[in-house]
Amino acid sequence: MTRELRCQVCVIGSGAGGSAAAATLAAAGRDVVLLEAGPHHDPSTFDQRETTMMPRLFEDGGLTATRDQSMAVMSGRGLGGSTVHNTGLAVPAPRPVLERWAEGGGLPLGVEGFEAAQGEVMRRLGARVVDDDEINANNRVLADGARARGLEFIIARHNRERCSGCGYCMIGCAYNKKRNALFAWLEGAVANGLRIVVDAPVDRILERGDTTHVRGRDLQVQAEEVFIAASALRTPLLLRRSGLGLRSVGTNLRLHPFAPVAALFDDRIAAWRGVPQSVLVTGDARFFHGGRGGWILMAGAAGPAATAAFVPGHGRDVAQLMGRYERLAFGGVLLHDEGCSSVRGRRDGRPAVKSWPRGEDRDGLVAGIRSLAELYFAAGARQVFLPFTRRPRVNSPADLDGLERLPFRPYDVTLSSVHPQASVPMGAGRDAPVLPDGRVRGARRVRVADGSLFPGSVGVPPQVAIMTYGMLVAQVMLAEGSS
Amino acid sequence: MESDHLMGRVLVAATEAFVSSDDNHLPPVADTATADRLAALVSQLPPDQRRLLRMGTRALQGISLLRYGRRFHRLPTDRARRLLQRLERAPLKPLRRLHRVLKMLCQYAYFAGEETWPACGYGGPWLGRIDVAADAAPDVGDLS
Repeated sequence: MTRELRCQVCVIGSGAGGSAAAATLAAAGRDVVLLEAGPHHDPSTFDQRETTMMPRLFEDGGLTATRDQSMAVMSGRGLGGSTVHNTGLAVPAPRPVLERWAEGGGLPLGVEGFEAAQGEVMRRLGARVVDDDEINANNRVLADGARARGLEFIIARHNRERCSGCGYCMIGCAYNKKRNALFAWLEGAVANGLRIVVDAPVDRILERGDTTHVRGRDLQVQAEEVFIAASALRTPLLLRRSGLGLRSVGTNLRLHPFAPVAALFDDRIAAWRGVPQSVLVTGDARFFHGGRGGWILMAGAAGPAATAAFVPGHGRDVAQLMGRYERLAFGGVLLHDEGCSSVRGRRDGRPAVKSWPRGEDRDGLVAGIRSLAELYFAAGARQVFLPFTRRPRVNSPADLDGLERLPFRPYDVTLSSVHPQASVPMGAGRDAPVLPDGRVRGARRVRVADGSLFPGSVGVPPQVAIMTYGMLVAQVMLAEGSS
Repeated sequence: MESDHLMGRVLVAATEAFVSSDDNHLPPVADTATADRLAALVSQLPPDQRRLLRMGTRALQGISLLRYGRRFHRLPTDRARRLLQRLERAPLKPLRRLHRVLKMLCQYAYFAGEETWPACGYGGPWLGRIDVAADAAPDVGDLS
């Protein structure tokens, strides 16, 4: 039997954007229903094992990839979305990127308004700079190498409190030390009357008269306004299924491709232990200054299975590398991508992502890989392991010669993505699928409130910017008094 | 299902080829629960990807039969490894794709098991070993 609910605003998706939007609306006294397609994860059942936690916290068990499986593309599932399994990085969008976005009408309240809102989000998250004694060896070698190479780096802010340093943030904090969306937004919003329904996937949205109908598997919600925050991979699919938005929906996708690099040191690194991703090397991140181009060098995932999945070589190479696992540092190049990827719906409703870096994105990744390898050697690495199948390991900086001439076809290079974004960009132009007030072009009462809205790649881990968009789109609606 | 059983044997043989070596300090694949973990991973794949994997392992059996006169899961490990190395550099995109999928799946399944962790120097999860006082979980009310 189909269950029916009525409310003023229905928010679809409970990740960073949806949680922020729902909480903002509930705090203003709106009657809000939040629908989450996945389950609510009880942290007391998190067991710190990849085989158990990956299928629970990630779509398709963490095995999602581009349509041709050349690049892993992972996104979260369940209440709180990817905020439950991210590393706790809280990095605001850089001002030059915001200025670039504002030029095209892609910021709801302009640069100053967005930055002020990011400050509010950072306070909500309890973001603080990682203490010096919390920087683990995996991140310390990044800082050492950056110093030796004269590259700028920052000690990042994280949304974690009294962290024990167990290192399992990426498969869910069993100790509730990470201040994810449930802490930052949902707990308070429930106290303000927010109703949450989990295991409630949405099939389509229908605008009829003064009411908007949200139809799911066995649930129907009638609302005056609808916010979609189903992630940059699924929001465009829901719009398409609903016949909403421009034909360009899903064609502006950015992925922040990540190229993994590992390095063998004499001393024990134990990369899996401690606060992950506390050091961000920004010396090559040109977008921090001019709004475009460049990359960040940062630590990568370090669990044994996830690491092994990307280890290059065969037989002896793999055995030797994993045999020295505790002496390996893991990092990677996070690219501020400019080229467009796209996402469409498969017959079974899952996203089909099409992407492979070309042109300046490809050149940026190769230059970033070289830069990180040189950084590791400068920090004392004995060997560096590259994501190229044709040159999986190098023993000195001289071995990096000719990196640019190696094949860069799909499967020649190992890449992954955990930051899909910008698939339904906001802008003032006629070709922008979402208007600057968050409303879907051509729709009356449907808005987008997640990372789909980014006009382009943000360049930094996107949690803070996504929450800020969610909060601001809600504030714009409240200011209109339209509900 | 017979084809799934055969696919499982191919995946186990591929895992052996990917991770074993002469100076191996890691446990043989047969001494681990890798086959069970592979079966669990395959069952989690979306149907279209599972179908593609089944086709891919069949193709691997066929290529092996043509090249070495034996099916892949019956090849000596060093020959299986050489075949996989050829796939990695094959000019045909579907063959490189098959290599990538097999490599990720097999290496993930093998090293996800605690039988391999001592040889890697990995101590395993803290839960059950090291006491950490958990904070209270956020109260998000009735979610029904």
